[in-house]
Amino acid sequence: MKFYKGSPMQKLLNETKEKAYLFLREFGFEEDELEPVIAKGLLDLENTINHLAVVLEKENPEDEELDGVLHGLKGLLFQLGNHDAANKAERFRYTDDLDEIRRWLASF
Amino acid sequence: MRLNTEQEHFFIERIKKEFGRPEEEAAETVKSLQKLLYEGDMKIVYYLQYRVFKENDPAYTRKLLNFLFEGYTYLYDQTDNQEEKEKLGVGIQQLFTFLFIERCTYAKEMEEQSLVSQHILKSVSDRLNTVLKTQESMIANLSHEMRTSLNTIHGYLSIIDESKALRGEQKFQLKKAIHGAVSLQSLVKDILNITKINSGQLEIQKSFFDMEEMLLQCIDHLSIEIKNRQRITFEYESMFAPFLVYGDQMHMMEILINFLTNAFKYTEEGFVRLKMAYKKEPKGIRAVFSVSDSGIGMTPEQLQDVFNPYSRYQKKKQGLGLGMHITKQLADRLGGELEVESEPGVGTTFSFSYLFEKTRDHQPDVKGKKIYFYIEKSMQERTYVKEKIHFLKQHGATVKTFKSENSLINFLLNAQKDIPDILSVLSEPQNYTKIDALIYYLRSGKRFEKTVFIAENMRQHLSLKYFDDLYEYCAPVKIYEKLLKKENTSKKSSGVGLSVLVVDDTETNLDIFRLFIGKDYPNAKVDLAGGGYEGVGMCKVKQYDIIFLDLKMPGMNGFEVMRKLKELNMTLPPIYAFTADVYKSTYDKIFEYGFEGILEKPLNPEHLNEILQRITNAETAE
Repeated sequence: MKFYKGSPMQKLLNETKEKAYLFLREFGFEEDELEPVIAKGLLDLENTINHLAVVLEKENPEDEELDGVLHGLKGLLFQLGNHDAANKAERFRYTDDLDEIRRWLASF
Repeated sequence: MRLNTEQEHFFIERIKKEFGRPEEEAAETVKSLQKLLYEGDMKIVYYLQYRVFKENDPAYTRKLLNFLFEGYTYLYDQTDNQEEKEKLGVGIQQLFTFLFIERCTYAKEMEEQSLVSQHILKSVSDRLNTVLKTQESMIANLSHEMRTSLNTIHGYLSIIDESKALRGEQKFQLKKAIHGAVSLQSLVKDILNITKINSGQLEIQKSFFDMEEMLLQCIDHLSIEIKNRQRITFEYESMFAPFLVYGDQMHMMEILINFLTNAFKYTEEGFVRLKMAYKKEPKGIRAVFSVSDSGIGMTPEQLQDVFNPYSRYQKKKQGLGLGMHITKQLADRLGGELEVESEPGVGTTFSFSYLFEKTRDHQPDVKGKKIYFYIEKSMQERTYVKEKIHFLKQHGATVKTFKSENSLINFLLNAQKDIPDILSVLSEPQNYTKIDALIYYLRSGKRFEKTVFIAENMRQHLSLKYFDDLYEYCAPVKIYEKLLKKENTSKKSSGVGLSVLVVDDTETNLDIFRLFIGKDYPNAKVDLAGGGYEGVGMCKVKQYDIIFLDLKMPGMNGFEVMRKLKELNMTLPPIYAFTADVYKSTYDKIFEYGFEGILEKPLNPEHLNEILQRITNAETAE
């Protein structure tokens, strides 16, 4: 599974971008200050999701690796203000149903 | 049935005229056409099909179509025989079918086949890209890990060196090890940069920044080189820039530092000069940054491939010659232009020109502030100094200039109420020492306690003790602003300059951390470590006021970092766990390991400020 810009995964990135501005603006930062941080954050997010997709391509991914990626994804989404998606990522850390995560990824 | 002489003549003339064929060839074509029309011989159809394919030109096809249509109409009108008309119709239909309909069908099939091929190619290409990206990301990760470990090695070696535990030959060997670690660090950094550029991972991060401040940071980076290379005079010239520009400061600095490193590498004696000039253009402000040297220079051949990798590799010099290649790649990615001029034995000038399309007027927060200068005579007419003073006045600062040493001393000894916020000295070297002693005298008598004394443009490395800030070159206005702000923040946070270390493997978290701390503590020094090993290394070489430590990191996690730090038997500052795992078990473990507390993810600036305030208050109480 690989996501490119313009692919459906863009939906999660767009949604997170919007939420990140709302979330971080609340703390009194200007657009100029946020722009580079959010741009970098979204790139981090894209890489993390791609990493997750690569891990899930394996039939039996290693628990530790999968947990590490989901943990990173959760932290990133939290920090960027997409708390719903972050909570979902956190829940996935404790599920045995990998297809559920795959379906979640495919839903974007 | 066959064509009569008149009809044959009609066709031969048309072919000659329309297709430029000679008489004989045209006559042969007419014979073949006749065979098709009256005997069903398909030879001419195949021939024409081949011509249409070969010409592959809509104009030719249209011409052929017209010819056939006119020919058919001509023959059709000339005959009254119904059977003959039908035969003509069949013949012409065959021609149309073969020539055009079949061609369309064939084209359609080809298009479908091409789509299938494209699809297959795209799948293969996607797969290859994934493999390449994985490989590049592997190299990037590996380089990152190597850099982290190298930082640790370098940190430990420096500690041994500073401890002066080794002497004689062992000390010499240690120096060699340190040099080796430094070159390896630089090499790994180059590899990491190239991998990032090639894999498209190089992120452009734009923000508003002050060009002069950036240049001074570049100089700071080379300060040891500048100090140690005594046969080289370092010169710095910059135009006064009363605006901020929007661009990728970090990567521009990298380009200029590469220029400077290169200049020092290939210059034995003479000068190295860093220069910045700008001009307004319709689309923005074009700045040109250049570094000139009086070094060995380059021949036209060397000049031609100066930006190719490994081009300047010389056995006597350190590194692989990747620096200029990286610089070129960076400049291309940023959208700037690089130029180089060189002459063997005379020197080299590298310049980087960039059009800043977005700029912002610098509105310094100096209104109502008293900024006084003592400017020695030779400096008084300098354009830069004049423009800076004019600019400060324009923005509401009260500026007073002392033009002689006596008037300054008189003022300092007698001033009662007229106390400046900043007093800046631009003078001859011997005067700085004199004024330094005077500051000591004044402060001993509890006078001018709130004034920030700055020594500007000192150039030489004098040991001044009582000036609050020293600048080898003219300080940009941003520096005054910072010093004034620091004064306020110092009042707010009881004079504490914070030193913070944040350890987290996610770069975004580090960036947001820096952003949040910078908001209320603009003068805090925030160091970022991308992993546990790096964090431990940094703690070994620097004493921090507070550390924020991510718990879950690849390699060495937060708990292991904590254990390692304790094993090192050093005085540890308060260490806070930075985590999103807010379970009871995590809390218990955190306190068991000796963390001071928890800072939850996502980062909340209010919680962060509470913690920082606690630290600053505690230090003030001490």
